[in-house]
Amino acid sequence: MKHIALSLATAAVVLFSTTACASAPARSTLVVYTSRSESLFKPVVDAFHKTHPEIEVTLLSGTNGQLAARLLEEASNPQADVLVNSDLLIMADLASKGAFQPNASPVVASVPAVYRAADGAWTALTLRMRVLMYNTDLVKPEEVPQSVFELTDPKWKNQVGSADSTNGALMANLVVMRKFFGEEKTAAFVRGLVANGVKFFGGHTEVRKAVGAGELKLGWVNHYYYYLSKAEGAPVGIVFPDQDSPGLIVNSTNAGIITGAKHVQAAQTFINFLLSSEGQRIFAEANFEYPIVAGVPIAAGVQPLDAFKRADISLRSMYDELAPVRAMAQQAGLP
Amino acid sequence: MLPGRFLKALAVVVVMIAAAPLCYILLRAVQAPAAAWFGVWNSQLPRLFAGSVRYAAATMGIAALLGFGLAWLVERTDLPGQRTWRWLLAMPLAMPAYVSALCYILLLRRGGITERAYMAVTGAPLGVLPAADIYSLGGAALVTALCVYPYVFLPVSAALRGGSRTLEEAARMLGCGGAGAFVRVTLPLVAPMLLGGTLLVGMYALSDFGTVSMLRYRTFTVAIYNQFAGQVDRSAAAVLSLVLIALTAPLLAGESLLARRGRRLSVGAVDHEPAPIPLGRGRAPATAMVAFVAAAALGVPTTVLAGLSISGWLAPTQVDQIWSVGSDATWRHGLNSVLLAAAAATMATAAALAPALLATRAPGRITTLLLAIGRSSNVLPGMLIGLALILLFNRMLPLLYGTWAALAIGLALRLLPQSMTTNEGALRAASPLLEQAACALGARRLQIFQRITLPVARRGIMAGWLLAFVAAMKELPLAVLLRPPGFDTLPVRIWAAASESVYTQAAPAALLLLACTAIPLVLLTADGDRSSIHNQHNRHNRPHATLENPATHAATTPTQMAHRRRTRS
Repeated sequence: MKHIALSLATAAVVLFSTTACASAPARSTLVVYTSRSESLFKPVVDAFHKTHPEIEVTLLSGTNGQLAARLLEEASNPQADVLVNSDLLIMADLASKGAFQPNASPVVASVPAVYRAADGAWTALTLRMRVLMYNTDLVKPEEVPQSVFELTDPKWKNQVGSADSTNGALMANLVVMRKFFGEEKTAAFVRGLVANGVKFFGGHTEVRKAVGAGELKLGWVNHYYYYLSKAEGAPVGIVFPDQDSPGLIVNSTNAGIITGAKHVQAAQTFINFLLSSEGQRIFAEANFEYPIVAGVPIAAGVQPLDAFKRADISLRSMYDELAPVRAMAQQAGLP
Repeated sequence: MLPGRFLKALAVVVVMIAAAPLCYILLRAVQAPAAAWFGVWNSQLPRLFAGSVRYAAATMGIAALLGFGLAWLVERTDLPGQRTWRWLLAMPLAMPAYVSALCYILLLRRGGITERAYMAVTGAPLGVLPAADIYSLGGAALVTALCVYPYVFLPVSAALRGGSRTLEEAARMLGCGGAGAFVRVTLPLVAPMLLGGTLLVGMYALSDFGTVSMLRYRTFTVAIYNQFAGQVDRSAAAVLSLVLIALTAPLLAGESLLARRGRRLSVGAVDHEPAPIPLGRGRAPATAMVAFVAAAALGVPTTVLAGLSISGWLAPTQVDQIWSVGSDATWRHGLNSVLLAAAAATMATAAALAPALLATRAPGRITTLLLAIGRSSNVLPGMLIGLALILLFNRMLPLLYGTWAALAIGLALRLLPQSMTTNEGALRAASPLLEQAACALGARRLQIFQRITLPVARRGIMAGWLLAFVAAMKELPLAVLLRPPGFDTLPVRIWAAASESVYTQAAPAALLLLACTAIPLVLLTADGDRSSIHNQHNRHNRPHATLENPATHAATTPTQMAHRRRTRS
C-alpha cells in the first residue's frame, strides 16, 4: 500500500516481460503479410509447416492496399519477409517502387513471363476471374444478367453486392473497364451502381455469404467465391459475364520477397513451396483457383480457363492507372 | 505539498507526449497538397459530414432518452429490484458495440436466425418475412445507443440519488406540485450530467469504427480507414481526419465545461431517504420496459454468442476447423489482450499521476493550459492515434515499431486523458491539510506522497485503472493498425472473423472478451456501493471532512468516474 508506485512499476515490468516471452517471434520465424483470407491461406501454411518444420510462419492479414501501404511505410525498417497478395496491379506497383528483391529461383523462372517480374522479384501463384453469382432461390436462370452493366438496371435495386474501393480485385476490374470503355462510361457505370443501391462490402466473403443467405440476389465476385458457396451447399449459380466484349477479366494472386527481409532463404523456400505441385494443388482444391504452374489439375467441377473468352489485356503494365481510377471511382461515389 | 520542479517537468513531458499524435495529424493535414483537399472536398466530404452528424445525433438522442428514463425509474420510483437494476443497467459498458452489432446482424438480417426460425415453423420460403433493415442509420444508432447509454445513465442516477432530493423536497414544501418540482428543480439540477453524458455519447459515436463498419454505415472513421486501407497516399486520410477532429472538438469542449460545472453542482449528502414516487398501475409496464432494455442490451447478444459458440463447437464446419487450428488460439488471444490492456492501463495510470498531482496541488493558469493540452488528444479516435503512431514510430523509433510495446504505448496514449481525469478525482480525496501537516513535521515530498497521498487516493486510482483496463480490452482500431505480426487481440480476432463471415469463430472470442470486461466492472460497482456507504457514514460523524473540498466525494465515486470515462470500439 505504501509503495504503490513501485508496485505499479514492478507490475508493468513483469507484464512486459511475460508479454514479450509470450509473443516475441522466434528467430527462425518467417513473417508473411497476406491479403488472402485466413481460412483460404491457413491450410497452405499448415502444409508448408509439415514439409518444413524448421520454419515457423507468422501471418499478418490485411487488405491489399493496407499491406502495400504498410510495406512502403516500413521500407526503411522492414518487418515482413514475404508478401502474398491478390492483385497484380498493386504487386507491379510495389515492384516499381523497389519493394521486392530479385529471386533467382528456377521454380519462379518457370512461371509464364507475363505472370512474373523478369528478375523473379514477384511471381503469380494462381489466377482467378471476375464473375457474377446469384441466389437460385430468388433469381431464375433466364433473368440473370449477362453483362456487369446490367447491375445498374433498376430491376436489381438494392439487390446487388460488391466489394468496395479497398478491394484490389474490384479496382483492377475498373482499371480494365476504363481501358476498354473510357473514363466517361466507366464513371457513369460506377455512379449507376451507387444509385442502384448496390451494397458495398470490405471483402468478397461477405458478398458471397449475403448472396448465399438470400440477403442479396446478385454478387459481383471472383469466380472461386461461387464455388466456395456451392461447396457449402448454398443455393447459388454463376454467370461468366461480358463474353462478347471485353471478355472475362483475369487477375492473379502473387508472392514476392520483401527488400531487406531478414529471412531470405526461408522466404525462397516458402515461395518455392507455394509454386510446388503440392502448394498449387491446395489452392486449386481448397479454393477452386487456377494454378499458375502447368500440369496441376483444376478442382473437379471448375470450368477450365480456356472455355471462355478472356479480356485481351495485360494488367502488369497498367499499375500507374490505379490512382486515377480510384480517384474516379471515389468521385463517382464508390465507398 | 507544493509540487517540486521534477514533478512539473514530468507533467510537461507527459502532456507533450499525449499531444504528439494530434500535432502530427494536424501537421500532415496542413501539409497535404491542395489537390488532396480538393478531391476529398468534392467527392466525399458533404456525404460523410451528413452521415456522421446524423449518426452521432441519433445515437445521442436515443442514449439520452434511455439513460435519463432508466435513471429516473430506478432512482426515483418504487420500481421493484432497484439494487439489481442499478448495476445491471450499467453493465452494457462491458459490451463492445461492435459485438452487439454482430449479434443483431446475425439475428435480423435476411436469411438470419430469426428468418430461418420463421421459415422452419411456417414453411415459408426465403424472403417472405419482412426484414428489419439493420444496415441503416436507425439500426446503427440503436445498436450503439444500447451499449453506450450508461454514459448518461450513470451520472444522471448519481445526481438523482444525491443532493437534488433535498432541494426537491424544499420546493414541494414551498408549494410546488410533483411535476412542477421535477421541471423547475430536478431537471435543471440533472441537466449538466444529462448533457455531459450525452456529449460523451456523441464523442463515442464520432470515434466508433467497428459498429458502423459492420453495419455498413458510412462515417468519417470508416472513410478514413478505407482511404488508409485502399491506397498508399495518406494525404486524403489526413484531410478527412482533420475534419473529424474539428467535428469532435466542440463536443469535448462542451463536455469539459459541463464536467467542471457538474462537479460543483453535484454536491451534498442525503440525510434521509425520501419516499419513492409510486408508479401505481404503471409499475408492471415500467418493469417490463426496463427488463426489455436490459435484455436488448445484454441478454440477446450474450445468448446469440453462446448459441454460436456451442454450434461451432458441437458441429464444426470445415472453416471452423481451419480457424480454430489449435483450439487454444482463443485463450492465447485472450492472454494477449489481458496482458496488453494491463500494461497499457498501468502505463496510462502511472503517467497520468504527474499532471493529476499538478492539477490538484498547484492549480493555476499554466496548469489549466497543460491539462487542456493533455486532454486534447481526446478528440482523436483510436484509428487516428494508430495512424499517427505508425508514421511517428517508423520515422523516430523504428526499433519499437512492429512490436507489442508500440501497441501498448498507443493504447496508453489513448487512455491518458481518461486516466488524468480519474487520477485527479482520486487525488482530490487526499486532503492537502494532511500533506501540509506532514510537511511541517519535516517529511520529504516523496515520503509525503507515499505515506499520505497515495494511501488515501489508492482506491480511486485502482478504480481508474480498472476503467482504463476495460477500455483497453475493447479497443479495436488501434489494435488493427498497430498489432505486430502474430500478436492478435480478442477484438482483432472478432473483427477478422466477422469480416470473413466466420461468425461461429467470432463468438467464443467475443464471449471471452465480455467476461474480461464484465468482471472489472462488477468489481467496480460492488466497490462503489461499499465506498459510498462508507463515505456517507463518515460524513455524518465528521462533518468537517467535507469542508476543504466539497466536490471531493462526488468526483471520486466510481460512478462519477464511469461518467468521465471514455471507451470506444
